[in-house]
Amino acid sequence: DEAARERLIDRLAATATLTADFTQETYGDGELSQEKSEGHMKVARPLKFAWLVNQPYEQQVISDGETLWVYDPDLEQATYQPVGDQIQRSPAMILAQPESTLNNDYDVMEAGDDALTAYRLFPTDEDAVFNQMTLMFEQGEIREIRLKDNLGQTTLITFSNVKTGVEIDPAEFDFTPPPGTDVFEQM
Amino acid sequence: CANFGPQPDGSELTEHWSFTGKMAVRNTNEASSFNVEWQQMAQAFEIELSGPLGQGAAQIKGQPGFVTMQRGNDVWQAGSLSELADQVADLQLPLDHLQYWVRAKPFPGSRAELLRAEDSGQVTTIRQSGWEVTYPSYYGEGATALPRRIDFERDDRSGRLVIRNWMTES
Repeated sequence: DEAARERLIDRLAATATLTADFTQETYGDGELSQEKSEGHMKVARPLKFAWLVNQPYEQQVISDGETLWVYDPDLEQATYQPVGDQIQRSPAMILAQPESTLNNDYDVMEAGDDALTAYRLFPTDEDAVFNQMTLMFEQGEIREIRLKDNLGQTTLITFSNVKTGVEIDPAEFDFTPPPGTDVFEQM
Repeated sequence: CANFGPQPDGSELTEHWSFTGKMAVRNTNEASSFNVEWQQMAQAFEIELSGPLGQGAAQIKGQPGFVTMQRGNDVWQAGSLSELADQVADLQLPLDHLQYWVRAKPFPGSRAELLRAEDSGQVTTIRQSGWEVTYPSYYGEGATALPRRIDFERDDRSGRLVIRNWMTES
């Protein structure tokens, strides 16, 4: 419902910056987790973020507000695209720009109390990448994002060591491909 | 732990093998990359291609003469991987050849030229079906070591596959 959407946007837009460690697991229905990855993320609203996966393989997804870079060190490849095209509404985009990413493309349901609140998002257009997304807040802090896709796979991102309103040097959102990296536009 | 321990040797590869990796596909100025999980059980195979958040996941299942691919609610069927690639616009990948190239072997279906390194005997290049396949790194020094990275190129299309973990059916 509309009020729930507003409350979710207010929660996400409450502070200018957010940093946290995260773990991410994707698993099919009933299967054990296929691959668990860990990393650190920084968000500076609007639209600046660094989503840095460290384990088991490095990947950097960095937006300076205009250009989004995806850098895979073991592939020695970096791709770039305008941030606005980032239509898949990745979790980083939702955290960085809730106002535009959580517009009417989603119906929002809220459940829980002040200690633990869950927001469940259902995309209104059926070829959305995720057919369900749940954001969990504990004591007002983002704790988890759970994404279900239409192949029955669930991706669970758990946040820890969450800090809000911290000073972040803008240079952290500037990415320059290291020498020897093949650079392409994102297909 | 990050790396799943020492990687098996090609000589240990039986009819059942699998790997996980990451693949980039490119044309002259655009690229996209996705995770790859490939399971081979003799002639049958299951390949899963997925984006960083598992999105856009495509599952390809097949055995000789019958291949299906599911992505979202769409399903394709074909008689072979190459026929499937013709049907699916953004799947312009020589998957049937890759089934052999990943093990530094030529695709048995057509003529191939193989170059090997003098010292290690490892395959450095395979030229086949208009593709130039190169092997920048292997897991180990021996002639039967398994590739860690494969680059393949034809006209303005190219791809790069990094194999992160080989698993053999012991």
